[in-house]
Amino acid sequence: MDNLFDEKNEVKSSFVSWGAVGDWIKGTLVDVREIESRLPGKEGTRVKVYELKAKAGSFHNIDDKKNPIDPPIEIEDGTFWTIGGRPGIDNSMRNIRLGQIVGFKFKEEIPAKTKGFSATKVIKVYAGEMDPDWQGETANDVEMP
Amino acid sequence: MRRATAEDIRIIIREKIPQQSVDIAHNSEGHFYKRPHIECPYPSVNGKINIIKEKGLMDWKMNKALDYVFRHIKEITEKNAMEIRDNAEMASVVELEEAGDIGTEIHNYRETIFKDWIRLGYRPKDFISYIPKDEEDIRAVSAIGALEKFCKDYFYQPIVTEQYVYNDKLQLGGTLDDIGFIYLPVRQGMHGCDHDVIGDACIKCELKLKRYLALIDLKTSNYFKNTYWIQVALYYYMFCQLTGLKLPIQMILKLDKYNRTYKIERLKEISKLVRISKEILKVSDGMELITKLREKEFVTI
Repeated sequence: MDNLFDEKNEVKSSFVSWGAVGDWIKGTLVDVREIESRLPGKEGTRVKVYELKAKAGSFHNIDDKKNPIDPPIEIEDGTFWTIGGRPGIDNSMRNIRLGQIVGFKFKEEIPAKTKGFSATKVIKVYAGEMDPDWQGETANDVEMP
Repeated sequence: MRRATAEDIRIIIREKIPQQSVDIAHNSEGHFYKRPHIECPYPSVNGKINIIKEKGLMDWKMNKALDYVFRHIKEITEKNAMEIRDNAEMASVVELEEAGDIGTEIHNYRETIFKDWIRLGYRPKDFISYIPKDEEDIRAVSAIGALEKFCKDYFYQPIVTEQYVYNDKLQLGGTLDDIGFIYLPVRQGMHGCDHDVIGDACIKCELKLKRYLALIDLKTSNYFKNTYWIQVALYYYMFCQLTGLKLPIQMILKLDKYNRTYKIERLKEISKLVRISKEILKVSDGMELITKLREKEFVTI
């Protein structure tokens, strides 16, 4: 019998991480939720997360030192991914409706003005048309194998 | 402030050109447009600018007639010479009528596709599927295929189609083919990029597009004519006067009936064209007046 706790059974996070400039994802916005932030110093605050039924994309995971890990993850059509909100994204997403095609791209990194602080990642939001193929399904509707 | 959507523009057009403000009143003499409370219907743009005889068209008609004669030259006798002559004269008419028929069908398919697109809110997947199987004509398939390519290449979004317009001062009416948004590049993207445009930019490269409100006149004839520019200029003038909207792009979209390609002619110096077109209308009015005056002046000496 397989060991349930074998590394190969680990459920990979479905969050998109912005590991390298140029990382992007395109899909249909299927859900918007609020969760509690797990970021250090922001525990307890509510942040928005956006769930996409992806059409395509490519992004890099990051290691413990926040460096991008190659090769990038290629996002397959029809898979579900979550994008964490941040002020720039939340502002742009206010006018995006469920069922609308939307894209996110890691455009650039702006160095922090204060020493010791992380650089700001600029994530650009692209608003497309309504997805004619979306029938209201979300990741919760996906049958687990 | 948010950017105007297609629906915003549509609302303005419906408000400024309500359905009851103008209607067609075509008859056997031509196309006319009826305004409520105005006794005489207005002639159409094409009806008024017919006065201009395109040299290219006249040459073509003569060539068609000569072609007919040469094809039947061995058959010509004293007995059938007049019949051959009459048939030669009709050779261009038959071909023009056929071209007119397929042109009308292509326009109708386009109207159905764009009305569906407007109703659904997204581009229909397969334009060719709108041609009924029993009506499939290679020319229609080619033209509609070309139309689909144009819509994809320019990310076209229809706003209204077959829109009636009129002008009380000019006493003129017309039906313009299409008003919609087109997107033109303002920053080139990466060569070889299989662009994936969302909104007005490609998500994979630096391609950036700018959206323009455009007037599009659809043509299926085999060549461009000067009179098309006059026609579009007058539609442009009437539409802008009625709605107050700015139309920065006016174009003629020629759909090829044989190789699924299209060609575009963008009008230039639109203000000058509108002035010239109005002068042509005056010439047309003048010729009509002369015709009427001559009818009354039949004097026997």
